[in-house]
Amino acid sequence: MAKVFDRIRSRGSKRLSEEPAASTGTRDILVAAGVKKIYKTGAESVEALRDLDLTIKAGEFLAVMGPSGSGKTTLLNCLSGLDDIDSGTVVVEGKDIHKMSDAKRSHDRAEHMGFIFQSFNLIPVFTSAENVELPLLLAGTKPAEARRHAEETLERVGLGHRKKHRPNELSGGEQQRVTIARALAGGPSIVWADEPTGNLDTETAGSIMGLLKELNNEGLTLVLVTHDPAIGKTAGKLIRMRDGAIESATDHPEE
Amino acid sequence: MDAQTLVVMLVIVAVAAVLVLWQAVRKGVLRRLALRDAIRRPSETTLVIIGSLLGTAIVTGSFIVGDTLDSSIRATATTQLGPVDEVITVSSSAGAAEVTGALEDLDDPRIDGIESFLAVPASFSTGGSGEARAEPEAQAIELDFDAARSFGGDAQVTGITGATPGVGEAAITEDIASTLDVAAGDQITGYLYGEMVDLEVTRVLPRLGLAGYWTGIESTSSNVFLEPGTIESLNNGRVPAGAEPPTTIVAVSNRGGVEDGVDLTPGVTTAIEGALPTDSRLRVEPIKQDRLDNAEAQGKQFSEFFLGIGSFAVIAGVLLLVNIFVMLSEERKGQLGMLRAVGMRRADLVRGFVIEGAIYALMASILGAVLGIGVGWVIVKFAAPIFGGSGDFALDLIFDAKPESVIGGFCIGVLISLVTILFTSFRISRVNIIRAIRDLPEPRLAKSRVRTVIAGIVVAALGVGWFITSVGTSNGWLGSILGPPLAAFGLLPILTRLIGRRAAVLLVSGGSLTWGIFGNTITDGAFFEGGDIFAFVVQGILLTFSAVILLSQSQETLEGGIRRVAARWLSLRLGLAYPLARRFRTGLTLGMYSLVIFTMVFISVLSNVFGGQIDNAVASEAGEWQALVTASGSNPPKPDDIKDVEGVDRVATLTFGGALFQPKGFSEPEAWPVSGVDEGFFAVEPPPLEERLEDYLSDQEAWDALLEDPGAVIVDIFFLQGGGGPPELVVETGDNMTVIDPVTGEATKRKVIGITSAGQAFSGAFMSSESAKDASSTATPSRFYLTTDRTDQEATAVTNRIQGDFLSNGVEAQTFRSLIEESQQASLQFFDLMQGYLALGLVVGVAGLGVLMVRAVRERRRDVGVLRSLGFEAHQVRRAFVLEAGFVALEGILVGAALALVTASQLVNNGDFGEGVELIIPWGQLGILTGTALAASLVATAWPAQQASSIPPAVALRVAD
Repeated sequence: MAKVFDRIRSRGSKRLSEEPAASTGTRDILVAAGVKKIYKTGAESVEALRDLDLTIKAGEFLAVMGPSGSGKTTLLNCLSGLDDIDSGTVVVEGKDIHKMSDAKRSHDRAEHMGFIFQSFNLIPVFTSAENVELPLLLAGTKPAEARRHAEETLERVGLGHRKKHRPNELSGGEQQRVTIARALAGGPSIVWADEPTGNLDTETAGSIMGLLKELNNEGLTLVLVTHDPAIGKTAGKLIRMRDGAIESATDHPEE
Repeated sequence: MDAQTLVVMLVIVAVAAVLVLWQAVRKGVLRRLALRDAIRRPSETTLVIIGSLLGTAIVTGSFIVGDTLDSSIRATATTQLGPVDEVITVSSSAGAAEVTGALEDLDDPRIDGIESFLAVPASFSTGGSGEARAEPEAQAIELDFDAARSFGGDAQVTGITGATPGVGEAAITEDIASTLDVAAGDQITGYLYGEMVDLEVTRVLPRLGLAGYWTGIESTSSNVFLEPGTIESLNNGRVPAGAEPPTTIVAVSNRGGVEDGVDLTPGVTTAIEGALPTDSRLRVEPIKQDRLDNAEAQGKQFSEFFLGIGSFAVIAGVLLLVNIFVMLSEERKGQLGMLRAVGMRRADLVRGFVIEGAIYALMASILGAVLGIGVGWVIVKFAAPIFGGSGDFALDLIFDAKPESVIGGFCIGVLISLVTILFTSFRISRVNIIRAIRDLPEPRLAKSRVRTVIAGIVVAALGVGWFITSVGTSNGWLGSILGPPLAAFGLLPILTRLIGRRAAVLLVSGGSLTWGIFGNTITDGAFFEGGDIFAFVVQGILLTFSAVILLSQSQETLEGGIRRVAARWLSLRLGLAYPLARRFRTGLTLGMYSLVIFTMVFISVLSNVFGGQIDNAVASEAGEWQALVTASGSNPPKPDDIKDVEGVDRVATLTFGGALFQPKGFSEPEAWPVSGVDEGFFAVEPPPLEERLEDYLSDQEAWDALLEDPGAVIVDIFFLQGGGGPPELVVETGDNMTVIDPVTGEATKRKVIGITSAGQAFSGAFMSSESAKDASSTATPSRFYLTTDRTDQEATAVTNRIQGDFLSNGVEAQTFRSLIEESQQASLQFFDLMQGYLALGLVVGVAGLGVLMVRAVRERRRDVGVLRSLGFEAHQVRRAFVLEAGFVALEGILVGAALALVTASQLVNNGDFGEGVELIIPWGQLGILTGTALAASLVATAWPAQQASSIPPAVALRVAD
C-alpha cells in the first residue's frame, strides 16, 4: 500500500518524496506573518485574525483548536489562499500567495495543496474516480494517467470498489475517504483539513484519523482544524486560538 | 375573448383564488413558509416572475391582435355603412318606389330612415396637363343630399354635407380624390355606358356613412355622387348590350346608433319581408349585421391563429415554470424532508408550494397582461403595412386592446401557472423523508407494479379507441394525432416488464416520433382534419417531446463519447456533467428549446418553399393564360378591341358578376363572384383542378362539362372563405348549393364538380356564360383572360398598353405572374410576422435558460467553492457554465431543426403543399436563425457565468457549511 502512495508522491511532488518519511522536516513550508483578516457586516467590522504569525514545517501535523468563532476556519482559508487577507504575508514554498494573481494562486493550489472539508464537498455529478482525478487534470496530467492515479489513490483509501459511484451513493465515511483521496491525488505539499471528522460517527472518524495520521507519518504536511481534543492531541503541534489570535502553541501535545 | 368565456374564466380564477386564500388563512405555518420562501431572495423571485410572465403576455397579445382586426373591420361599418342597417336591391326605379312605399306603409317604430339611391359601377379619370390618373373600380351614385342627411336621424354619421350636385357637378369621397389627386374645383371625367361625362368636383366627402357607402370587401370607398337623373339620361336611357344595368338601393336605418341599431335587424328584416309584395323575390340583406359578424369572425380567426402560433411559446413557458419549481424543490429538499419529518403531511407540502406559486402566478400574470398590451401593439405595428398594402383589399388596422382581452389573458396566465404549479407540487411532495434529509437519489423501480401495468393497458385501449373513432371524421385531428402515441405510452409499463425500462422507453418514444412524422401520410391527411393551427401545435409538441425523451434515454451512449472527447478539457467536462446527470431538468430545457426552434425552422422552410413556387403558382392560377383584364361593368371594352392591341395573341371573355351562394350548412346565402366561360376559355389549357368529381377522367373533361351542364360549377380554392391565412375549403366536389340572383331574387341550383387551385384572381365560381347570367342578372362580359406573343416578364408591356388604351373602360390589366408575385409578397410578409411572433418563444427559451443558469449558480455555490479550492481558475468556472448552457441550447436547436426539416420534407414530398412543389431549404437563413438562437443563449448565460466565476472560494464554502 505504501508503494502506491510513493508512486503518487513521486508524480505529484518531488519535495515531498525528498523529505524523510515519518519525520518532521526542518524546512519551513509555510510562513505567515502579521496576517490580519477583517469581516465587514454592514457597519460592523469583526477582526477574525489579528496580526497572526505562524510557521509550518514540511511534514508537520498541525492541529488548530479553539471555540466557535475563534478564527480557526478563517485561518485555514487565509493560509491556503482560499480567502484574501487584509494585511500581512503568507509565504508558501517561498512564494507569497496573496501577491499572486487569482489564476496563479488557483494553479498553485492545484499543484501544492489538498483540501478536506467537514461536509466532504464532492462534486455530485462526478463519480468517485472523476472527483479524485480533478486536481491531477488541473495540474496538467494526461487524462489516462490521471484516471490511473485516481483509481490507485482510491485503492489506497480503501475505496477501489466504489470508484464508479457518485457521492450520493456513498456513506459519509466513504465520501470523506474520497475527499482524502482527492486531496492526496495531486501529491500536495500540504493538506488542509477543516473538521474532517465532524460529520462522522466515532468509529468512522477513528478510521479517517488513522488514515490521515498514517499519511502524515509518510511525510504529508497536514493542517487540521478540529473541536475534538482527542484528535488535537494526536498532532505533532497544537495551536489554540481565541478571538482571532493564537492563544497557545504546544509541540507534541500527546506527550 | 367573448363575454361568456370571460365570465367562466373569472369564476374559475375566483374559485382558485378563494381556495388558495382559504388555505393560506387556515394554515398559518404554510402561509408563513410560502411568504418567507417567496421574499427570501427577491432577485430570484423576480427571475421566477419574469420567466412566468411571458406566457401571459403572449396570450394577451394574441387576443389584442383579434381585437384590432375586429375593431378595424367593425370601423368599416361606420365608414362604409353608417346608418344603413338593411338594404334591398331593386333593378328599376319604379320597383324601388314600390318598395319604399311598402316600407313607409309598414310604419315600423324600429325603423328611423328609408332612403333609396341609384348606384352603378363606373370608372373615372383625370387628365389635363398633369399625369393621367384613373380609378377603374369606382361607383357612381345618384343621391338626394337633403333627404340623405335626415336618414337615420343623425346627419353627422351620414357623411353627407352641402347641396346635391347639379348638372356637370360631382361630390366625391376622399378615397377617389386621393387616387385621382383632385380637390374641389378640379375636373374629372366619368365613363359610363359608353359615354364620357365631364364633371367638376364641388365637394370632397369623408369616407363615412352614406357618403362612404360601399358593399365590396375593399376598405376604401371610391364614390362619385351625381345629380339624380344623370345616369338614366346617358346613352339615350338605354343600357348598352353587355353592360351592367343600374340598380337602386333601398337602404333602411334602424333606431339606435350605428352599431346598436343592429340589435333590431332580425325583427326589422322579418317585418320588411312581410311588408314586401307577396310575389316579390326581393331579398332584404342585413348588410351591417353581416359586416359586424364578419368582423367578429375574422377577429376571432386571427386571434386563434396567433394564439395557436403563440401557444408554442406558452408551452415553452410552462416547461420553464416546471423546471424552475423542480429546481426550487431540489434546493429545498432538506427543508422539505425536515418538514415531513416533524409531521407535515404530503398534502400540506402541496398546499405550501401552491400558496407560494400563487404569489408568483399572480404577480407574473398581472405584469404579463400589461406586457401583452405591448406585445399586441408590436404585432399590430408590424402587421399594419401587410394589411394596409394588400391593394384593393387593404385594411387600415386600428389598434384596440379591449379590457376583456387583457383580463382574459390575465385569467389564462393565472390558470396555466396554477395548474402547472399544482401538478409540479404533487411530484415534489412525493419526497421520501430520509432520502430528502440525506440528499440521496430517488431509487428507480426495477419493474412496473401490476396496477401500473393494468392502468397502462387501459390507457392503451383508450388511445386505440380514440384513434379509431377519430380518424377519417371531420374534426378528428386530435385523436388521429395523439391516439397512437397515447396507446404506445400506455403500453410502457408492460413493455418495461418484458424488455426492460430503457429499451421500452426507446421503443415507445421512437414509435411516437415516427408517428408524429409519418402519421399524417399514413392516415391520408387526418392530422389536419379540422384542426387548423392547433393541429400543427399538437403535432409539434408530440414530435419534440418524443424526440427529447428518446434523446434523454440515449444520453448514456452520447455521454460516453462526449466524456472521451472532453476528457482533457476540464471546463467542457464539467459543463457537460451537470446536464447529463440531471436528465429530467435537462429534458425540460431541451423540450423548451426544441419546441421553439422546431416551429421557427418549420415556418422558415415553409416560407421558403412557398416563396420559391412562383412558376407553379402562376400555372395553378391560370393554366396557360398569361394576363387578366378587368373592366368596369357599366362600360366594358369589346374583346376584339383588346385583341387588336399589339402583342395580344388570344382573348377569352368571362361574364363576371356577383351572386348569392348558399351551400349546405350555411344559414344565410353569401355574396361571391361568378365567372362565366365559353369555348374561348379553352383555347389554351385552363387552370388545373385540385379536385374533381370521379365522373370526369381529366381536368379538361370537367371543364368541358361546364359548357354542357348549366347546373355545374367549378369553384376556386378561396370560394366563400372569409379571413386570411391558407385556404380552407368550405365546399367539396359533389356538393349542391342554391344560387340566388341578388337583384331578381331568383334561386337556382348548382353542383360543384371541381375545385381549381386558382384563387388570386378572385374568380369565384366558374360556370358557363349562360349559367352565369342566370345566377347573376347584373353579370357582364367585363373580364378577359389573355395570352401574348411574349414571355410573362415582357407581357407586362402589353398589359400596361391595354390599361392605357382602355382607361375609359375602367380597365385594370396585369399579368398573372405579377398578380401572384404581389400576393406572395403579402404572404411572405405574413410569414415574417409569424416568425417574429414565434421569436417570442425564443425569448422565453433564452430568458428561461438565463433564469435556470442563475439558479444553477446559486445551487452550485458550494461546488464552485470546492472546484476553486482544488485549483479551478475563475475563467474555467465561467467557461464551464457557458459551455453547459451552450450544450443544452445546441442540443435543443439541433433536435428542433432536424425535426422541422424532416417534417417539412415529408409534407412537401407527400404533396401536402401542392403537386410539383419542391423542398428548398433556406440553409443561409436557417444558419442565421439557429446561430442567433445559440448566440443569444450564450449571451443570456454570460452574467450568471460571470457571477459563478467571481464567487470567492472561502465564501462559497463557508456559506455551504
